Amino acid sequence: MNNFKTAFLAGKITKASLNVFHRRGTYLPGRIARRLCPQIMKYIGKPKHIICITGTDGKTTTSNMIEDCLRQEGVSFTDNNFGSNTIDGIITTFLNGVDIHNKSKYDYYILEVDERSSPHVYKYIEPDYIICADLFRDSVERNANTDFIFNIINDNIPSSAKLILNSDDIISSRLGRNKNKSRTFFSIAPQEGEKPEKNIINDAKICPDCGGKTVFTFRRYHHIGKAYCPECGLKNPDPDYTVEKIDRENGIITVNAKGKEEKYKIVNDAIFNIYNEIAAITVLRELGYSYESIKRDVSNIKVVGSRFKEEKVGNTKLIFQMTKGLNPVAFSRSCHMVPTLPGKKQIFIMIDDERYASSSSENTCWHWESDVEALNTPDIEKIYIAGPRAGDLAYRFLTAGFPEDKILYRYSSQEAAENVSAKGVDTFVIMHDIDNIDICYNKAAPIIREKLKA
Amino acid sequence: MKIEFLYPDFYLYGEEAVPEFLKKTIPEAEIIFDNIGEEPRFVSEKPDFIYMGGMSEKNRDRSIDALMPYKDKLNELISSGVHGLFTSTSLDCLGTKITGDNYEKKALGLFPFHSVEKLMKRYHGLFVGKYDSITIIGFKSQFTEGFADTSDFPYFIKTDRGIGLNKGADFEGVKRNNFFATYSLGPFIIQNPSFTKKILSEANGKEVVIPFEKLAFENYERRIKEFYDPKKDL
Repeated sequence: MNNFKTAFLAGKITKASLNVFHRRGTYLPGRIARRLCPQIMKYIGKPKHIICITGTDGKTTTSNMIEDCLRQEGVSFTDNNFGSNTIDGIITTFLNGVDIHNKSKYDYYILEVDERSSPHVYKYIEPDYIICADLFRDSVERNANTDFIFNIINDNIPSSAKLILNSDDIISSRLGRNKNKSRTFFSIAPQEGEKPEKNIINDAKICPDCGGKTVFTFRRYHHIGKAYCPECGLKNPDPDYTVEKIDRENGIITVNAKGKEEKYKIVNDAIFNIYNEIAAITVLRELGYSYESIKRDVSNIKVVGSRFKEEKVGNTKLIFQMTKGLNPVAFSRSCHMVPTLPGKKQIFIMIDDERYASSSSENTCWHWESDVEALNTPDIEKIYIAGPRAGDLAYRFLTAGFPEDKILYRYSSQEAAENVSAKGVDTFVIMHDIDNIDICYNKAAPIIREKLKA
Repeated sequence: MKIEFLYPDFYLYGEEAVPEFLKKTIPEAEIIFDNIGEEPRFVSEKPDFIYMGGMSEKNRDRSIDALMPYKDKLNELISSGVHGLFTSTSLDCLGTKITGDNYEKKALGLFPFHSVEKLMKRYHGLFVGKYDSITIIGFKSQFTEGFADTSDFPYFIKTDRGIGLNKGADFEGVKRNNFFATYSLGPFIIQNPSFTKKILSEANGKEVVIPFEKLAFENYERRIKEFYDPKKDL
């Protein structure tokens, strides 16, 4: 307990000081506290319940959905949604979550946990549930590859945690296996007429257990689907909660919840968001909330504005699609989503990592594993590429077979925006990263709005 | 021209794009893919260019096991002047061994170096240097470092900025005759058009044109400036 009180107070004071200057202080209080007391997580007050959400994609959306439901159920909770999901961000959340007597002010903590932070986070907390919706290759810098990141999580799962896993992911559904864990699986059944996407990335072409060649009986995207290994017998586990039918026309999903039929509103009909929704429903059902309650709560959920936002400018629908740069699967998901939007479209892509531009040079290997080819459809008339690596991304598009006159690239987002010419376009999509949201909203978007009005 | 790819199902870090890129560069080339568990084509037919891209550490070890019965043949091809490039983790396959915490893996032993793996200390960075008069840029993201077992080490690139085979080395990769290997990913072959144009033209017997060559070189030159900029961290 050496230094805990000092660290605790230092963290609290840092947070209060940052608030005075209108700074969020999402990780600094935690970092300072951890420097003073490396074992601070051991001593800090804990809530009654902790739910952790990990995995490559969908952490924020899933936790938002869970929180929207808990809020409507009158449950008190806190989270790290606006903060860092690394160890310092999580310590900051715990510091914020306790009063001056180190007692938790909330019943639940809903924590997004960065996969790499698993060893530090799970060492001192005992979550009730850990949700992992998927494991894909992520930014090469952060997560290396799925073998590596799977082992990091699997080796550090606390004994108490029950796991909520995606049965359709033959990689992450192996988490907690052979550890006598309580594991509950969700799935989305193959839909009528559903065809596999063309993807560059499939992290399970080779069996993650034995290295044999995997056979897919149904592949939705990347390695998500139904697969087995003829050599060692690995296969997807049987699901407990299955989205049997996606009725996009009426905005309803039909779920087989342990043998009972349930219907929920579709919060967002992109397939990856339906995975996030069924993950949230599964944990809430397992927590004991009734079908009727969750159904009512889900009907009031909206995907948060920073991730997907749309507005009408003249006759054009302007869509802001948050798309994580450096992450080829996240970018690919957006590339497959955009062609499903209505009418003639133009796209403005600004997803380079601006931090690298000022201090170093971005590793763009992720460009070459992203499914940009999905955007090569006749109704996508023009693609504007903006940012420090615009030439590299333009090169990726050109070598993928896009007509040269369809691609315009500029190294500044304002300059690219000045070149927008979108007469008669039904939908204009801006793909932006979370890190350049300010540049997008304050610099590029105002110019684009004027161009759309013209 | 025959281009042989070793174990493409394992490729990561954008390496999946390399076969298609080379097909576009040399449309008449015959592309050969070797799968794990099968005898590589180079055992029975001489390729003009042989390639192995980056992969996970687990699959790198599987590749070593798969290639071990054919290491003498691979050595013979390298000695005879066949062109080739191994990138990223596949460089580790060529040394004598890979060691880590409670771990040792015998590698193919075709080059005089060994690799040390630290799974909780991933190195991520950039380097720039020269091979002959060609400027080479490289991205690195790796758990291993290579250590030369001889003083006259047959390196590929003399580094000007950034780390070499290990954090203390100012040389990177290995080279013998027309065969090259580097820890770089990127994909290396797409981001180094000068080098790629030279070795593919040699292997092809006539000059090749890189797809959208003007833009490829513009991007390359832009990067060289960034990599040599002292204000930028590598």
